Formats: sequence, structure tokens, C-alpha cells
Amino acid sequence: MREIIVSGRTVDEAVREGLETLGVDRDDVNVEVLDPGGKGLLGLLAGRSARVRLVVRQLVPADGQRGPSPGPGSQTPAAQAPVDRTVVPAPAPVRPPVAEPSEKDALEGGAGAEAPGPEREETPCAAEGPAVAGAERAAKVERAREFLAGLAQRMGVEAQIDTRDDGEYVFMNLEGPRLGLMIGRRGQTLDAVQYLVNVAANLPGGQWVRLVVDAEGYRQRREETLRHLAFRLAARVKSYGRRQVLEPMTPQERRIIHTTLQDDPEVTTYSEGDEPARHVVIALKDGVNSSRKPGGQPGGRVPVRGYRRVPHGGRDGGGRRQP
Amino acid sequence: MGGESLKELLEYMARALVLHPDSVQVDMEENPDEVRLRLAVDPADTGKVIGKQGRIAQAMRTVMKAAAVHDGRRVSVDIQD
Repeated sequence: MREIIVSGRTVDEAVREGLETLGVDRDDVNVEVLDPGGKGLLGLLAGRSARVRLVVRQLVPADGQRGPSPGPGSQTPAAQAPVDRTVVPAPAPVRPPVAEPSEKDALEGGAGAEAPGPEREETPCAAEGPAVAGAERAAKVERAREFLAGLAQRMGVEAQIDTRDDGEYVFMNLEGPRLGLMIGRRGQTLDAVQYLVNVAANLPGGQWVRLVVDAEGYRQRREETLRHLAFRLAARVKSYGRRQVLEPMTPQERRIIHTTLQDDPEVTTYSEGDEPARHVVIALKDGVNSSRKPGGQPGGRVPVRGYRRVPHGGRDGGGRRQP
Repeated sequence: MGGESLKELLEYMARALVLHPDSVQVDMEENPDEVRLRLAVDPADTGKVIGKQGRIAQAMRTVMKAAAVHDGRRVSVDIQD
């Protein structure tokens, strides 16, 4: 189950940010308000952030393997709900006479950001859904692959495309020489290509299929880099008690930071600022003290030289801060 | 990458994004410093090549810029409306 805790100036803003990060619609999540936010406390902050927890409802049949999710009990076949629906393509039921959603809707749904959508489905994924959705999905994947292949070729890049579908995302990885051209600075070109591939593939309308375009595992490497960065900065926050502001990132990259640290009992993460300068902040959770102890314990951090800190032998005589 | 192939790249992207691919047309003006491309689509498709907050147009420009690296000239994409 995917869930995320996000902050924002207001509850609405936090929810919007969370949906954007998760890439889902408002109707796909349960929202729990952890903190409605409020006025600034110490006169330092403009106002306390609102915090909400978003839990993604299981609409799509979860078919077990979803990328790098570390799912603890995923090995035990017992106790799991029967989730075989995706394996055998059931005979296609009569297509429900639902008016094709206009492409406009589809386009907007894909951005994942704002789509209040007037059509609030009461029965999220009726039992008849999967087969139709499966065929439609396969057609879109093929559309995407074809478009991407033609695009790469016309950009003067020779590439082979490997496609993998984990049921949630479709991953398309390009392999070949000179792919740097398709990645661009900080993956900027790759993001543009990915966006176009998503729009082109989903042009026919219907259920929006999310595609991830990668080149030579660039995104995977970047994800690892971001995870390391997140852990490193979280450790720094813990030892100094000061928040760390990261550089601006795309929603996907911010999401990596959030999810990396979401289970950390001592720090919290939130995004602030407006696109394209929106960035993640890592801070101590309320009620957690920084672990800086003059005695130092094995593995304790050595403070960075020149970092502003309370001098030793201060109010507590250099002993532990807590009795 | 010469002007012709840049033009073709833009046409290719635009056709994949619209409902009336046959109406897609790209005019090109070339000079030693710059390749100027003007994209025209069916009026009903204008939004499709611009996107919310110009996101699609921006993505196409980013791709064009990358493709033009070897050409060495600047490339600009205007959308006719």
C-alpha cells in the first residue's frame, strides 16, 4: 500500500502536492489530516504547515511485484488476497456504453495534478474492468513504443527499447550509444521525451497509462543518488537539529526524497516553494532532539568544521543534554 | 542535423499529439544562426500542441533544442494560432 505524508501551507495545498507526488487523482486516496496547520508559533515561521497523510486506495489489482517496493511480508504466499486477475486475460466483457472520456480529460488526468473531475466513480474498478483495460493498455504501450522509436531515430539516436510493465507503470528503457543527447542536463530532455510519450500514447483517451522513459538506466542511477543524498542530509539534520533545504527538483525527484525518509522516526520532509523552484526540506520531527552529544557515541557524526554550534562547556557543562 | 531534419522531427512529434495529423504543417526559415520553425495545426488541435500552461509546447522545444545540438544553430518553435 502506498502512502505518503505531505505538508503544505494549507490542507488543500498539502493534498494537492501529495496527489502530484503520487501521481494519482483525488478519488484514489484516503486523506487523513494530521495537522490542519495554524499561525506561526515563534514568530519565526509564517505559519505552521498543514500536514496530511494520503493513503492510496487499492483500485488496481495489486499484482505483487511493484518495482523496488520492499514489501515486508511479500514472500509469504498465504494471507495475501487472491490477486491473479491480471494473469489470465479474461474474456472481454461487453464494453460498457460509457462515453469515451474526451482527450482533454485524459490529458489533464495524466498530469496527475489537478483533476477534480466531475465524474466521481462510485464503483472504482468494476469487476469487468481488467480485460478491456488490458487490451487498451497494450495498445497504448505499443503506441508509446512506436512513437519513442521514431522520435529517437529522428533525433539521430540509435537505440533499442526494452519495455516492462509492472501493472502500475510501464517502463521503457533506451539502450544505445550517444544517449546523452536524449537525457540532457539533469535529465531535462528525458523528462520532455517522457512527457510527450505519455501524451502521445494516451491520445486515444480512456484510462490513463503512466509511462516512464529511461535511457541507460539514468533514472535508476539518479534515484540512487537521491536516496543517498536523502540519507546523508537526514543524518545531518539529526546531528545538528537544523533543517536542510534541498535544491529544486521535479515532482518525481521530490517524491523519491519523501518516500526514502517517510519511515524515519526522527525526521520529516515537506516541499515548499512554487514550480519550478519547488524543493524538499528535511527537518526534525516535533519533539525530537538532535543527537549531538559532546561525548559522542560510536558512529556519532563529527561536526563539519566551521559549522555554527553551541560551544562546549555551556549550560550543561558539556554533559549530555538530557538527564 | 540540418534544418530539414529538424523540421521533420517537429512534424513527427506534432502528428503524434493531434487528432488531425494530416493538417499538421511546419514552415521553416533558415539562416546561418537560427532555424525558425512555425507549426500550424487544425484549430481544434491547438490546445493539444500547447498543453496546459504550455507544457507540451515546452517539451517539444526541449527536444528540438537537444536535436539541434549538432547543428550548432539555435532553433525556435512558434505555434500558429
